[in-house]
Amino acid sequence: MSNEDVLLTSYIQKINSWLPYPKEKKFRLLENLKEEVNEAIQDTGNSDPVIAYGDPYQIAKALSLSQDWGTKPAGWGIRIFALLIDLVLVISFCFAYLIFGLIVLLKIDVSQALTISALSEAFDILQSDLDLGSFIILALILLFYALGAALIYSAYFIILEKVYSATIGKKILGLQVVDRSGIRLTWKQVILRNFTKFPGVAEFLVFDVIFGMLKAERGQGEYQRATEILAEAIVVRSKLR
Amino acid sequence: MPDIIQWEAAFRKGFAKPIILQILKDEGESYPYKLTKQIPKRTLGMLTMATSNIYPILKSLKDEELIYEIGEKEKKIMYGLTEKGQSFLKELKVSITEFLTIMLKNFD
Repeated sequence: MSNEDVLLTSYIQKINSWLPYPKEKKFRLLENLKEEVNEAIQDTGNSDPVIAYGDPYQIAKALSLSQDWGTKPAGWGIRIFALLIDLVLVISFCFAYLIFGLIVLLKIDVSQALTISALSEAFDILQSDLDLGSFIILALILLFYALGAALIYSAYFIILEKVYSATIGKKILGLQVVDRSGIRLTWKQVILRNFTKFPGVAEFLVFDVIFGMLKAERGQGEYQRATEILAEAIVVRSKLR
Repeated sequence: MPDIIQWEAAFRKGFAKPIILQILKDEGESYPYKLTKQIPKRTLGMLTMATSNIYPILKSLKDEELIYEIGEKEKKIMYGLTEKGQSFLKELKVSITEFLTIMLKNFD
């Protein structure tokens, strides 16, 4: 492959990766686009498709807007159900991490780690008299683990929604979270959208949803939470389901 | 001084859809990239359009059934003017001409 071909292929691939849809739905679209971009390259004499045709992110957005992907905004019910699945999963992950952390921290015999006696032994150590120095060190270590758990919890939503456009709960229920134009979210959008789920501010999720519900009732929103309106993000589901 | 380019962009924008319809009428079926070349050519560069802007415009024209999309089997997706688009363009041109005439009178 010539250098030009490599540039063109990676350009199309970049646009492709912004579109979270099955191959058969976008194959023709991308084939057609490739021809268009190729023509623009021949025309302008510039082998860089970004200069010849445009920024891949903007093109992906425009292409997506011009398509009917067969999706519609997902209602509150199914979305809350997806969140419950996610919470069960992610809280399990956090607990697994914390228990593992305690095992390592307190040097409990792993084979007995999950028995009641091992756990109560661990708490005995925690409750025994410690001098101030060791107490501070222990507190810092525990804080470190708590932050780790919070990180796992946040990363679960952020990374899955950025990379796969869905968390496990959403995937199971056939939901996708996308930009208003239908393309994948940027990191900024994902973080903004999930802001009210993060540990420490999660109580605001209720207000976030209620605001969205009030908005939707007046026909202005499409089942978007307040932070989703800000992030221009929307949860959709297939029209066929 | 306010930026004249911004003002120009604002009033020229409204002519994008009409000129696309006119191009499709005069020059037959076209496709997005070709249109981005045809538009400045026809308007002496007064109206230009980025490729990323043309897709949503074609989509909205298609949704209003003013243009059709063809090329299910062949590779290239082409756009052409529908009959509804033809008669709408006629009506639109009358309205635009009327408006421009009055504006020109004002600026005389």
